[in-house]
Amino acid sequence: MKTYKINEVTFKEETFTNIQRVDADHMSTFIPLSEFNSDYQQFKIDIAKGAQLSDANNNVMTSEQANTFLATLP
Amino acid sequence: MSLQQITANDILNLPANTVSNTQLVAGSVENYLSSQNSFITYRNRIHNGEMAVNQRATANVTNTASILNSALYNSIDRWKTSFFNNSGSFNPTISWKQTTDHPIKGSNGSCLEIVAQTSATPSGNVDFFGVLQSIEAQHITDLFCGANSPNLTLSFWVKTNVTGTYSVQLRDQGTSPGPNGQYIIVSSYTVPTSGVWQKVVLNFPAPTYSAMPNSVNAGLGVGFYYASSETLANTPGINPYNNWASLSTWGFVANTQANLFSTAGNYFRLTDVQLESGSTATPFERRPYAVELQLCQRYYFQGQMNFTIAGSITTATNGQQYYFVPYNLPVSMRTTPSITPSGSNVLTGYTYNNQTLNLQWGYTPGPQEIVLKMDNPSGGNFSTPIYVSAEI
Repeated sequence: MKTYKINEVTFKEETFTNIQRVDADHMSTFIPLSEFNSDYQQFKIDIAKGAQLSDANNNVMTSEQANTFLATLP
Repeated sequence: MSLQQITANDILNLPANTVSNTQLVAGSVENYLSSQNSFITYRNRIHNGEMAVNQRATANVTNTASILNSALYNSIDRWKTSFFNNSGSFNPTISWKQTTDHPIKGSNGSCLEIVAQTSATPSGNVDFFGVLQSIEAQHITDLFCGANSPNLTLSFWVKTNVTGTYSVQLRDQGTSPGPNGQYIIVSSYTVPTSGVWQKVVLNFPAPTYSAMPNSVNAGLGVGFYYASSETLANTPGINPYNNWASLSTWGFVANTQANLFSTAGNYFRLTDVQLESGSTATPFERRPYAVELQLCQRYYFQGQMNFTIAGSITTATNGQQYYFVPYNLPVSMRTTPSITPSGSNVLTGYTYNNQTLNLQWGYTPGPQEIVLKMDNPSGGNFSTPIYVSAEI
């Protein structure tokens, strides 16, 4: 089962956010918050269907929290 | 003047816009140039139609029940499988891969090969297996331009041991959907002889109903189906056979569609796929491998990041030790890509050249650059495979 995690990192004095998808085989894929990226499009579909999302501190978010986060995304 | 009366001097002095379709019919110039080993390029809107580019280099990808109900890019560049098992009983094991067999080049050319490793029959609403390519919208704005849209022609070569009828579906993924969903059109062809390469040409009427946006999103899906329970008989009142019709469901095929997975060991080979403007199939546009590779790398890139960290890094003000490694991609991708930095679990760290490296984070600032963040590197030579995707 694939899960998702919000990543935040400071690079060149800017804080960037992306999504880390961990697949069933433990492969990690880092997904940009780009509306044209098909992995990002699938992330939003999966979360809306109830897939697990953790925040930047590795806390699993509730469905309500995840959907609230989704609403802030492009 | 007739063609016989034209002299070299006439051509030198030919006024602009004086030659019309009465003199030059579709294909006359292209066929002549082909006979002279010269081509008008970029007619073909399909990428990697010759199945030559295979960056993933997967010898034999197997699709099983564990990855059903999804579209996957895991074999030949730009092509993906679409495998649905809504009935729960359509669960064949299927391999698809690049194979060295070609109708013109023989063993020096490539094709996409699908092999049924186990048998199954699609049933219910709806099971199907197909191989698709999604064409980027901005690449076909001249084919989907409202009333000025041209007819379309799809040509390809096939070879299979299962004779019968097979279906092709075009799905408009870019323009505004109709009343019942995206517009699709279905056509079919018959393979009369087992084990022989056969060229297929399918003509499609002009998609005059809407205009394709000039965007990087999916524009047109070109799907080849090898089994499906979703026949046209399931769409009373709507006929997408050789007619653009609004339908939401995927996987529609002709009523007489063959089942490639009827018996284990069945195979199907496909190559030289070309989609072009007009009603005539011109010779396959054989682009140089380097050009085709670059076209494919707009959507997927696979490579190896090799770098050296000289000595240990200092501790940052927040107490962490880390190192950012930027990497420029060879081709600007369709959109900001996703990155998979390693084939193994990158979170647990791994050892290379006697150095422990914890890769914490991958970041893609834009369509042409990726950045990896390493935690606690103590110096040395490092190497990691990277898989970068901006697939549609």
